[in-house]
Amino acid sequence: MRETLQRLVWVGLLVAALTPAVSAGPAAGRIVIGAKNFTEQIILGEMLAILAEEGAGLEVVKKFPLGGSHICFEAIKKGEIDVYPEYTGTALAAILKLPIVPDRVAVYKSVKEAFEGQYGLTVLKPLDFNNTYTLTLTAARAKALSVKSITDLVPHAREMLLGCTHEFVERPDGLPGLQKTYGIEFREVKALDPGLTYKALAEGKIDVCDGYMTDGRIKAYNLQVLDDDRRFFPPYQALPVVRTEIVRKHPKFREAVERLGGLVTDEEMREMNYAVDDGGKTAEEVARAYLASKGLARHPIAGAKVSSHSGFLAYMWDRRAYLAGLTAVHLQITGIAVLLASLVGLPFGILLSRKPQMAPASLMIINVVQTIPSLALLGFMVPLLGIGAVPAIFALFLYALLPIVRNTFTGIRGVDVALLEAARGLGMTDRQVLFMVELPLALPVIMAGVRTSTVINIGTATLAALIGAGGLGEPIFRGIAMVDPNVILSGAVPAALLAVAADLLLARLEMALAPRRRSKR
Amino acid sequence: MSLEIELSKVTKSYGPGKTVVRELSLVLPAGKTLCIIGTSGCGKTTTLKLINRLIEPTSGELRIGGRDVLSGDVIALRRSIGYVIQEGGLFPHMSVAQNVGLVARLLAWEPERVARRVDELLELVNLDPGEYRHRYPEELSGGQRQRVGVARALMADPPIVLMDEPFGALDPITRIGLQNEFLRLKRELGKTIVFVTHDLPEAFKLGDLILLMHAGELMQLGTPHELLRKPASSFVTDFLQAHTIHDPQGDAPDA
Ligand SMILES: Nc1ncnc2c1ncn2[C@@H]1O[C@H](COP(=O)(O)OP(=O)(O)O)[C@@H](O)[C@H]1O
Ligand SMILES: [Mg+2]
Repeated sequence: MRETLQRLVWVGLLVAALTPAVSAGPAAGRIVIGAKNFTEQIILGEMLAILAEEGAGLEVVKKFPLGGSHICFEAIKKGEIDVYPEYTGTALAAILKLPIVPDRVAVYKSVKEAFEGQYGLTVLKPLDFNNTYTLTLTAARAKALSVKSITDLVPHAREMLLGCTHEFVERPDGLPGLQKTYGIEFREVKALDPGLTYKALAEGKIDVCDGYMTDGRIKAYNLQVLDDDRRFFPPYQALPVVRTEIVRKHPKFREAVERLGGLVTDEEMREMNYAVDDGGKTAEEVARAYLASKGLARHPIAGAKVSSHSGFLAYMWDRRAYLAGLTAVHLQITGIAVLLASLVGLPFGILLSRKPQMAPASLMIINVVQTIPSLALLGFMVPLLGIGAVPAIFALFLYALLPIVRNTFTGIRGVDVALLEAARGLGMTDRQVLFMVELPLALPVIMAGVRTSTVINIGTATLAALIGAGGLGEPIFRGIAMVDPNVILSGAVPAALLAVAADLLLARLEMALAPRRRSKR
Repeated sequence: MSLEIELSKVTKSYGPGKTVVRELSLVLPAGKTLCIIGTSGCGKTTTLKLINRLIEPTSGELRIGGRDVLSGDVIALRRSIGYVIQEGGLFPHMSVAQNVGLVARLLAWEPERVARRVDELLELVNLDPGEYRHRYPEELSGGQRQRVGVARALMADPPIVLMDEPFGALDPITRIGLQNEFLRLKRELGKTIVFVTHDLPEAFKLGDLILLMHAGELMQLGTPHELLRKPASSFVTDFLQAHTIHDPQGDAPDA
C-alpha cells in the first residue's frame, strides 16, 4: 500500500512539475490586446500591438483571435483584455442593441457616449474605412440574373442558399434586420466560418454570402457586391476601444493609437486583407509595412525574413519558439484540468462505489455535461468566468470528469466480491479494504479513464483559443480566419502529436502503476 | 490455543419468508472440528459468516470462549479468526509472502517477525519458502493456492479457523492429499475449526462433529458415528444414503 501511495505522490509531483502556474492578469507596463477571428481584425490587432510596443514602450500580450464580438466585449468589460478593434455599427447594433441609423457621425457619437458612460471604456478616433456588410454573389450569376441591388435579389432569393457567418444570422444589423427591411427570404441559410464563405461561393456550394466591403477576396474571386439601396446597414468604421484605466495609465498609448485616426482607406484595408488572405504575407508584416509607410513604426529590417512561407516544415521551424510556447500553454491548461478532474473525480467515483444507488443519476448528470458541445460550454464560461485560462480550464475540467468518475466507479465495482469478502474476513477495516485491495486492483481501469480524459482534452483544448486561453488552437483559428493551411497545420500537427505522445506516456504510466501480478523471474 | 464456539437460537432473515438460518443452536468444544454439510443453498456459508460477523444475525446469541462477541469490536474479532475460502481468496496483486503476512501487517508486527512467521507457515503447509515466497497467486497451482490460503489464515495463530469449501475446486488426488495434511495440521495445532463442505466423505473424514443442515435448519448435530448409527430422522438417513451409496460426489458445487 505504501508503495502505491508513493507512486501516486510521484505522479502528482510529475504532473505538477509539468504544469507551471497559470500566468496572472495584466501587470503594470503590459497591455493585453484582443481581436476577433478574421483577417482584418488580426491585422488591426497587430497594428495596435506595434503601436503599443514602439509608440508607448509597453510589453504586449496578444490574445487573439477571440471567438467573436461578444467574447471580445465580455473580455474587455472584465478587464481581461485592455484594447480591441471594434466597428461603430457592430457596437451600435450588436452590442448596445440601439436602433440602427445610417449616419456615420451619429453612430460614432452614440457608441462613444454609451461605452464611456456605462462601461468604463474609452473610444479612440475611428479609422477612415467603412467595412460595411454587403451581400455578394458571383459576378457571372449577378449578370445572368441582372441583379445589382438587394432589392433586385428579393425575387430570386427563395431559390437561393445563403452562406454567412454565425454572427450575421443572429445580429440585428445582419440577417434579421435585412429580412425586416427588404422582406427577403432565402431557401436555406447555412452558417460558416468567416474564412470560408467566399471560397464556398466561388465553388458554387452556396449562392449568396455576406461580405465585408474591405475584403480583398471580393475582387480576387470576381464577386458582385449588391447595393444596399434602402440604406439598411449602418456604417462600420474601425474603432479602437480601450479600457479607460489603461488610457489614464498610459497616455502615450492613446497618443500613438490616435495617430491612426482617420487613416486607412477602404482601398488600403482591402489590399492589406488580400495580402494576408491570398498574398502569403503574415498579418504582422502587413501591419508593420502599413504603419511604417505612414511613419508610425520602424521599417522592417531590410533583408530580414520575408516569410512567404515556402514549405510547411520551414514555416514551423521559423516559429519554433512561438509554437513551443503555445505547446507549453496547451499542456498547462489540459494538465491542470485533468489534475483537478482527478482530484475531484477519484473521491467522487469512490463515493459512488460506496453508494451505488446514487450512481445512475450522478453519472447521468456528468454525462449531460459531457454532451454539451465543447464550443457551447466554453461560450457559457465567458459571462461567468470571463476569458483566458480560468474558464478554459474549468470547461476542460468538466469534460475530463466523466471518464475519471466512471472508470473509478466501474473499476472498484469490478473487483471480485470474493476478494472483498476475504479482505473483510481477515479483519481489514473499510479504509484498508479500499486502499489495499480495491484501489490497487481498480488502478488500471482508473488510469485508463485518466488517459481517455487527457487525450480528449488535448483535442478539445484547441477550442480554448477562442476564449483567449491561447494554446495550439491559436494558429488553428488564425489559419482558418486567413484560409492558410500552413498556419492551421502549425497548430493542428503539434496538437495531434501531443495527444499521441500523452497517450503513449500515460499508457506506460498505466503499466508502471498497475499492481504486479507476476514475480520478476 | 483454541476456544469454544457457542451459537444459541441464531436466526438470519432477509425479510419475511426469507429466513436462511433458523434458530440454530450448537456448542463446538474448543479444539474440535465441526463439518457443516447439506445441499446447496441450505445455509452453510451463512452460518460460517455469522461466526466472524461477515453476516450479522437477525436474532440469537454468539459466544466465543464464553464471551458474547456480538457487541464487541468486529475488526478485532475477525483478526482473531482465521478465514479460508474456496481457491484461497488470495489477492492477485500481492506475493505469497504478502498474502500470508497480511493479518500480521494489519496487526502492525515488526517486519522481521512477519518474515520469520511467513516462512514458518509456508513450511507448515509444505511449500518451500525459498521457492514460493516471491511468487504471485497466478503463478501457483490450485492446490498451492489453497495451501497459501490456509497459511494466511494461520498467520496470527488464531484460536479459531473458518473454512468454506476450501478444497471444493480441486481435483480428487490433490484434494485427498490436502485432506490428509489438514488432519496432520489439526493434530499439530489443535484449533477449533468450522469446515463447510458439500462432500459427505470429506465431512466424515475430517470432522469430529457433523452438522447436517436443510433449508436453514439443523437436521442433526453429532459425531459421524452418531449420524450413521442413530440418524435423527428419515431425512438424515436419506441424505446419507443418497450421498454415500449412490453418488458420493454428485452434489453440484455451490460456491
Ligand atoms: N444477501 C442475501 N439476501 C437474500 N438471500 C440470501 C442472501 N445471501 C444468501 N441468501 C440466501 O440464503 C440461502 C443460504 O445461502 P448460503 O448460506 O450461501 O448457502 P450454502 O449452504 O450453499 O452455502 C440461499 O438460498 C441464498 O440464496
Ligand atoms: Mg456456500
